[in-house]
Amino acid sequence: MNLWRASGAMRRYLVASVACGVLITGATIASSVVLAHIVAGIITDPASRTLAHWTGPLWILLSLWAVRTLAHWAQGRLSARGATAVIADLAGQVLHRITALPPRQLAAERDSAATVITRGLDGLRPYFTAYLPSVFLAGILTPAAVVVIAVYDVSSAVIVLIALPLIPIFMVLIGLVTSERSEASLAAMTTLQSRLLDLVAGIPTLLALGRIGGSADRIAELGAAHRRSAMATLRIAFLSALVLELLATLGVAMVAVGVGLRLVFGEMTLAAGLTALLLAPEVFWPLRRVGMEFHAAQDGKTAADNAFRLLDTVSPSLGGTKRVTAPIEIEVLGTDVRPGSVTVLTGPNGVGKTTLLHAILGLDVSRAGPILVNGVDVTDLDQRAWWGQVAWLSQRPVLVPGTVLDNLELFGPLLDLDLACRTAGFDTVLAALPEGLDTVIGRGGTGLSLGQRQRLGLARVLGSAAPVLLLDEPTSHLDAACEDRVLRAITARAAGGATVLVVGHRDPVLAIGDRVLAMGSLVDA
Amino acid sequence: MSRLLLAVVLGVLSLGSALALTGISAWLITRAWQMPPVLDLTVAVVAVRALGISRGVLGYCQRLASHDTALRAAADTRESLYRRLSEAPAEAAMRLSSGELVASAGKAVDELSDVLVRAVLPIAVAAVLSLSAVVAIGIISPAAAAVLAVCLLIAGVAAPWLSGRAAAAAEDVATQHHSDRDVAVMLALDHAPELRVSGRLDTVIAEAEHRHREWGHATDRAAAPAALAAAAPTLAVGASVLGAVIAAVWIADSVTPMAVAILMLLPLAAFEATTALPAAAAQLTRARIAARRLSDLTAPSHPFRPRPQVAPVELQPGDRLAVTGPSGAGKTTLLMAMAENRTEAVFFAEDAHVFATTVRDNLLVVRGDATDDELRNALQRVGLGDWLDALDDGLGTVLVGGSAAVSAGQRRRLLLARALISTAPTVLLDEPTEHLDASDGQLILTELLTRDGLFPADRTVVVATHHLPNRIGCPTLSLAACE
Repeated sequence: MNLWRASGAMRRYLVASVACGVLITGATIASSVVLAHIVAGIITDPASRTLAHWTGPLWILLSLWAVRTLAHWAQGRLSARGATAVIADLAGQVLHRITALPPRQLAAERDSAATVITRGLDGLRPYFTAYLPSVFLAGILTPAAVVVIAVYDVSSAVIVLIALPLIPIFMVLIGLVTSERSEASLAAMTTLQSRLLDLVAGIPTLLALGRIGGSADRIAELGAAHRRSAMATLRIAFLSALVLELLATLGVAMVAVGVGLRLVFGEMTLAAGLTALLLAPEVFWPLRRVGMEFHAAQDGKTAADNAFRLLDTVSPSLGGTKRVTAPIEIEVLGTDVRPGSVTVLTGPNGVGKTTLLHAILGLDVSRAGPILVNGVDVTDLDQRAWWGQVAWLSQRPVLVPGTVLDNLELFGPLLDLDLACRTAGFDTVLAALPEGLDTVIGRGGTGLSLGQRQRLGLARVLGSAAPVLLLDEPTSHLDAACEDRVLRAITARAAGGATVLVVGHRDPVLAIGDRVLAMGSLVDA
Repeated sequence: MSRLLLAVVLGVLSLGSALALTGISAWLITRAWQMPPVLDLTVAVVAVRALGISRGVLGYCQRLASHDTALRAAADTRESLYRRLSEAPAEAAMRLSSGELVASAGKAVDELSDVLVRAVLPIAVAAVLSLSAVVAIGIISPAAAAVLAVCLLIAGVAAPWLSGRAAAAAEDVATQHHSDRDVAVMLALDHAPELRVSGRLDTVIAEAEHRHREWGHATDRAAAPAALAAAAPTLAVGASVLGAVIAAVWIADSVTPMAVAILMLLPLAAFEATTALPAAAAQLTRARIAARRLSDLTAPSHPFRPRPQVAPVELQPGDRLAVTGPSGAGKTTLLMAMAENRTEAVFFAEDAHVFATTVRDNLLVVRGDATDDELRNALQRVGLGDWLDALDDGLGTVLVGGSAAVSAGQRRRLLLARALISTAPTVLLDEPTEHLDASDGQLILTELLTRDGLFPADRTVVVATHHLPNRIGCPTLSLAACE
């Protein structure tokens, strides 16, 4: 039980749920026994047919049903709250764990983490509110009801005990026999479904190419094929429900017939017979509930398994305690990136330029040999102190929810805000914003285009006081005039003593390099 | 319709078996207590056993019938949705390029088709069975029947109403909080390294967790009526049993013991059909929301961003034109407007869809009669020759997951190959070299903008890009620049 370990909210939820299960079980069994005795009394004893005679038992019956109702209500509330708490707990843990991963690992897990957190874990709600309570009830009410039946009528208990184990046995057998077929049809169904979605996603493309015509018929064909394979899956899937219902109803029917045949020979009392008859369905219905909720719970279960897989990912421990002071010289790929000069890192797509920047930042282990900062291996540096000395422009600069000013000062206060905005071409953007620096650009930076975003990122890096500048494709999304100005500003920062490393392909970018590092080989400019 | 009716009949018979089983069992046991000759019980014994079997078997048939109906309905809804989307304004279709939207449309269709299985069917079955139970009890004791009817209304109408309200509230809460939380989560996941370096990661995660909890608490509040709805049937069964017992005390002297037993025990089984109704009401609510979402999706009245006006561009056959400017300057809009004004022009979007099918079919989508040689030639010319050779099945290789099967650069080249295969007199290419290496990108742009380069001299080619190679001698239309 992974969940038990993972979450304190989970433990509280389980305790509350089991308590409700016990309460429901007690009230259910007691009310069946009381009702059976009232019914038998009214039928067998004509003298008892007054309300006054039954006042006591009727009050007991009333309070037992009241307890049952309240327990059901409490279970509903508690399980909903429990689900909320557990889901929030797990989502938070996954988010913490995944965001601490090195960038490459993060990129690999990003989509599955996003799915788990934003959608998958919500599927745990039915698991907690419907499936688990029915499992607990099956674990408490079912055996308790069998025991009470045995107290009143051993033969009925034997019938029930024969039917009960047949349910799991048959379900396992059906599962074994049909698993291969149902897996195949399930796979066919998934494929068809994704092809349908694929065609819908392609509508704009098909429209632009003037080829939309035939695809509507294709949708109809796929729909029919989808139905056929879905029905093939369902014919098998519903077999287990059939067995469950068949054995449950037949079990009750056999108890009724058995009781009837023993009553006719005077071998038992009517009260005992009715008790067995009323309790027999209570043995089976929790199992039927489990069967009904099982499929709804599977999504949540899968999501939880994915969450645990993500929680088990390990990030390499990076960072130490050493500190360095400016000016800073970085030794990378066997070359010095010197303060006061611009070093350009170039090479074809996918060769690992961005990854190298990550390694210099100490976010990932280096795949290109050791990286030394003023002679200290980067993995021995105190990470927070080191990051305080670096201004980094990533390929897609982050915008945090907040004002423009917040975002400009993300890596620390700017030396000269106006100058920084001017050199990055962000001043024109700023002038067009309704409230200038105080404009809120929250929620993922909607409101700023890709190019505007790039300029904001440039402004905060170029304007920062950090002695080290790492710029990943600084002039993408910029036009030639803008690019020129930005490149001059970068050169100026280097001239001011900063250590500047730029990743780029284009000729104008390569031209500002005092030295150009081609990944794999080394060329002095 | 007849299929649905069949499912309802099967459902009534299946749950009716359970009701009859309780009634006949009560009769059997009470009659047996009177110790008649065993032969008097034979019919009842056989009936009880038969009903024990018929319930499960008929339930199985009913499930198959109803799901078949639902799947047919889903296929029809999907087809008509597709037809409507393909006839909707271009802007509505453009929004489909987001996979999220496609998935939500798919989900909405499923919700709608589930209405039959999860709402219409259980409601019809519950109505028939509740009526039967009330009539059966009414024959013995009209007073008990009245109590039962009221209790059935509580379980079958009041509880579902509560549950429907909870579902609607939950949906409201989700629309209010969903995007807030997702935005915070995605910010953390997308930019974790940068946020860590800037020391903001903890704040962003705390914000995401805070949003998550807020949503959870709102969901809990919205679910309060659902807990009442879940408890109401228990209350209703208890009340109807008590009513029946009191009625039985009154009339026990005037009717047979068997009737007394049936009167008191039948209410226990009368509520099985109504237990499905709270879920049915929730499903109805969700389906209503889904239907609204689907009609929003295709509604032409959706408020779109007004298109910036663009001056008409004069083009002669064989012209090459480069449209430049930073992102957001209106390059794409200009190209789309050109495509609308010229019937002979085909627009190749930057975010065009790569279908999850073979490489061949992905290219044939432009021109169905292209030969394999033409396709190979086109791939070769956009620099995908080596990639094609490395594929297991060549042109027949399935791109599993569509664009997920190729890198960003390969995708761009594949879409460019589509443009090469097209025979349209005018091709409009949006950012054809985005995501390519600088040198390759410059080379391809030069080839595209040179007559008899990638395209023959008599074709008209318009390219939108934000990085035009230097020393290129073609007309350029420059949209809003940095200054």
